[in-house]
Amino acid sequence: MGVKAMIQDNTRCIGCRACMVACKEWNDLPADDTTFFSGAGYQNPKDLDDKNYTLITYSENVEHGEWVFGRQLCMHCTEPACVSACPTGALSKNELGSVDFTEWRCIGCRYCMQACPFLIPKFDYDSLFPKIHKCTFCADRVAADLTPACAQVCPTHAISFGERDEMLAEAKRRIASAPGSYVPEIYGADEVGGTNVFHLSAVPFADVGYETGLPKTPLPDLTDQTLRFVPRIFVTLVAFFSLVTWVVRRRMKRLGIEDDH
Amino acid sequence: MVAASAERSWPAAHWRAILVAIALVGLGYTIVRFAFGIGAIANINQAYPWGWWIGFGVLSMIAFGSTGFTMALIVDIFGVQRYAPLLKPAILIGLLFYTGYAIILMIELGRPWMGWLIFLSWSPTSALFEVAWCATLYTTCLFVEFGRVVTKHYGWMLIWKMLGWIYLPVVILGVSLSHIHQMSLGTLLTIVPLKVDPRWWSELLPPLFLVSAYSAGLAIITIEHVLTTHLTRRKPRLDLLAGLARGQVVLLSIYLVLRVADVAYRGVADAAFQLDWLSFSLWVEIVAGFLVPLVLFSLPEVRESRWGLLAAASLVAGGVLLNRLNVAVVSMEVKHWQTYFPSVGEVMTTLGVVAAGILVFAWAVRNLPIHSEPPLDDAEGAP
Repeated sequence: MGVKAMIQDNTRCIGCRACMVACKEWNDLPADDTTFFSGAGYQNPKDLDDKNYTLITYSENVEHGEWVFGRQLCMHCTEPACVSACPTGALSKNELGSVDFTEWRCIGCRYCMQACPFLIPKFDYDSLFPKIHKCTFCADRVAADLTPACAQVCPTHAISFGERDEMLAEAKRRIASAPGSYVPEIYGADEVGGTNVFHLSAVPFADVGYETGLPKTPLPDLTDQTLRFVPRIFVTLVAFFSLVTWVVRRRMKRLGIEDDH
Repeated sequence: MVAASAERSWPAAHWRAILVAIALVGLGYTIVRFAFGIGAIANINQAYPWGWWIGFGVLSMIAFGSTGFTMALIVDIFGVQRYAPLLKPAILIGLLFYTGYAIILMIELGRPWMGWLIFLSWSPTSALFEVAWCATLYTTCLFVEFGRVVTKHYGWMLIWKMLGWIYLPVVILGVSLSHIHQMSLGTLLTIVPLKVDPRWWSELLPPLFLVSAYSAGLAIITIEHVLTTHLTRRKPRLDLLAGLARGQVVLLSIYLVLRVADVAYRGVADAAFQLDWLSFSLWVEIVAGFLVPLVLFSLPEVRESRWGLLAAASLVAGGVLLNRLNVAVVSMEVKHWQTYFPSVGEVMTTLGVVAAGILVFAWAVRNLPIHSEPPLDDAEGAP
């Protein structure tokens, strides 16, 4: 099986949130009490959390006097910052291209939450056995030749799922065939080096609560440019300090200086 | 005799009671954390997964723990034996800060009982993996270095002798480990260029963290020396502190030049003059934490006065603390409706660890040969 990807076509979304319900059902997540939230969006709940792995965002497009929808879920980056940040390998890429979470390896350091540019991994702070929670791309369903729960249930086919190159071609085709209906941008195609979820929208992504202005290069490169030198720096330092110590001690011995401790 | 009696009664009973009380409150919050979860005592949340615990308990405490490696570098590696009187307290303070950081990390981690897994994993792409390995190895080095003082004092000469054989290699290893993990603490947040405000985010965070860690270490040892000699009525070695102050002038200058060049090179100088709270925090950090102490340390009057040295060193320690908090917490921008402010529980757990550390240090000053300065003579010090 090759790398899978998803299209989230917000122009087809009617905000029914069936995807959120299906996601909760498949992942066996509890329902939660919500309160009205008026802010940048009017969605409910207002953010992803440990009980919600996907979220339809509601934003008011004042210009056109209508609601526009967006969706948050793990983008399953090609080179994920969370995987590179995880000190214990609890997060890893699998052959489907999605980011897996291995619960027993998690130490709860939350560096993945800090590292993720899309603010996806969440943590159950109130649990005595807390861990990271995030969208799994329904890797278990995909392995059984099913589509992810959200894609399966979407009544307007706003969510499509398939081979990555086919999905990318399909996203491009949709924009090309109806130029007026879409902003000419596939969100996720090359954000932070490319992801496996492609969002399409009728309005600029910044207006629908997406994290925009992300670099087009993978974020792990930023730490790698320092960390890959660490072993070399370490060896150099040990060699340098050993040399200095040896020279200094030899000189002290010659001058008869006692090391007084 | 004067010194000995002053030492025995130090810290004064009411101070001791206050420190014990703070430590017990911290312990109480820690018990609540393990009984009811992190959420019961902390304000860290889905948007701000790292807060005071990381900013103070990890980033700042490890920077303050630089006392051990900076003094070992001066005395043991470069062989400037003149500074040897400052070495033992420096190693003990380093040891206490690193132990304190480890305790706070155990409170902060969601699943501390799985923490050992880091040492069975191979994640060289993770700055946290690097920090965890090096900080743990270095803490072991500090135990060996301080073990020399303890074993000699209690007359366990065989162990003392064995520690002596490995002492220099351990010091070399420890100093090298310190350099790389102090840098890697800066690397931690280079992975999120858009979350950390551009006034702080930089590819130069690793070297900036290293240079300011040297400064923090020298500042903490200065604060300790002035306060401990004052409280135990010993003669402070102002000549040595003045030497450290001259070193601070060089270090703080390098830091400020790097910092200004970096801001200019990345073209964010405009942002630094923006009128907002972040700029305010930036300028307090730069001016009060680095620029003013640089000026103070370069004045001979300050270098000759223990209170002047204490003031300047305290400003540096405060500046490094504010810098770490700014980088890891204050300048973090996620969604504008999400906020974070440390909770009483977060602050009290860290203060509890610090208070316990001070009590252990005071005990060590009373019972171990940490300080070798002569007592003040009667004319100066007698009650």
